[in-house]
Amino acid sequence: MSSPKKITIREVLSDVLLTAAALVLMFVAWQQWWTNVEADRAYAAQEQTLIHDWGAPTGPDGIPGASTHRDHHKPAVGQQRKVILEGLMYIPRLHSNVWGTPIVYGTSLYDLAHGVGRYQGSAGFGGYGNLAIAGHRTTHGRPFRHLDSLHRGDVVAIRSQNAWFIYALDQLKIVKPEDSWVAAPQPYPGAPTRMLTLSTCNPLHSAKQRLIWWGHFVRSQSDASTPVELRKAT
Amino acid sequence: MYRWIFRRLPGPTWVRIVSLAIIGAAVTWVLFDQVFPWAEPFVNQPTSP
Repeated sequence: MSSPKKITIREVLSDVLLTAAALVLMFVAWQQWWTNVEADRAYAAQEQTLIHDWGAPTGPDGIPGASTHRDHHKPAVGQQRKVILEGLMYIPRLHSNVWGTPIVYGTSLYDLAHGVGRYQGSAGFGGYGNLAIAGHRTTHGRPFRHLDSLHRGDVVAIRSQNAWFIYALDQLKIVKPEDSWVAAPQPYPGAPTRMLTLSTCNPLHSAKQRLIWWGHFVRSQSDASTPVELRKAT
Repeated sequence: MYRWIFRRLPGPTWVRIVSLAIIGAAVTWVLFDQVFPWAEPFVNQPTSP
């Protein structure tokens, strides 16, 4: 046994400060790294659950699987479902990011940890009005990290249980967080009657602004076969 | 503080080091699984996708 030297106030103080520093660093590590690890797992599990619920994926195209991209884990058997899953999103240009990304209902921090979130009260898939969907730019799987690298005319495809909905992008806008009008129906004169709004934080690692993309509804198809627009990408 | 904990742990030095590592891992797990998810809304602005 070592000689029990008296522990000084100074030592306690230094330990407390070191602990505080370690906590801050650990929080950063958790937010910037671990939330992504967790979200990737959650996304994959949800995608599997949805596809399982929808019945076997169709055709050899295997689009619904998307399992070639991320290391997909086993379907979440018996996993509690606390978010409302509505569909899956595919953006050919963001092939490695947004491909079979779960679309959940709602945009709370919790919802967005499980996919991209459809704003409450916004239009349904392919519906009249504005279908507004938000996603994280950083942390929690960061599905919309590269939203700024999309181009006008790019395809955004949404799969629901029975149908595919194809949208094409029109314009990018940087707005303030309180500019919720961008997600309203008819946000600008001459806006499409059936439109899409994608939103995420801007600039990267900040929440000062929102980066949004407006798009319009192109078409829907009621069979589950892979849409032509996505075949090009695969 | 840490010295005090180290002193209180039983066994030879290597056992204490292993014990400390296990305690550290457990604390990290609790932080990652419970504390940080709870604390996140306070650290970030309420809606920051």
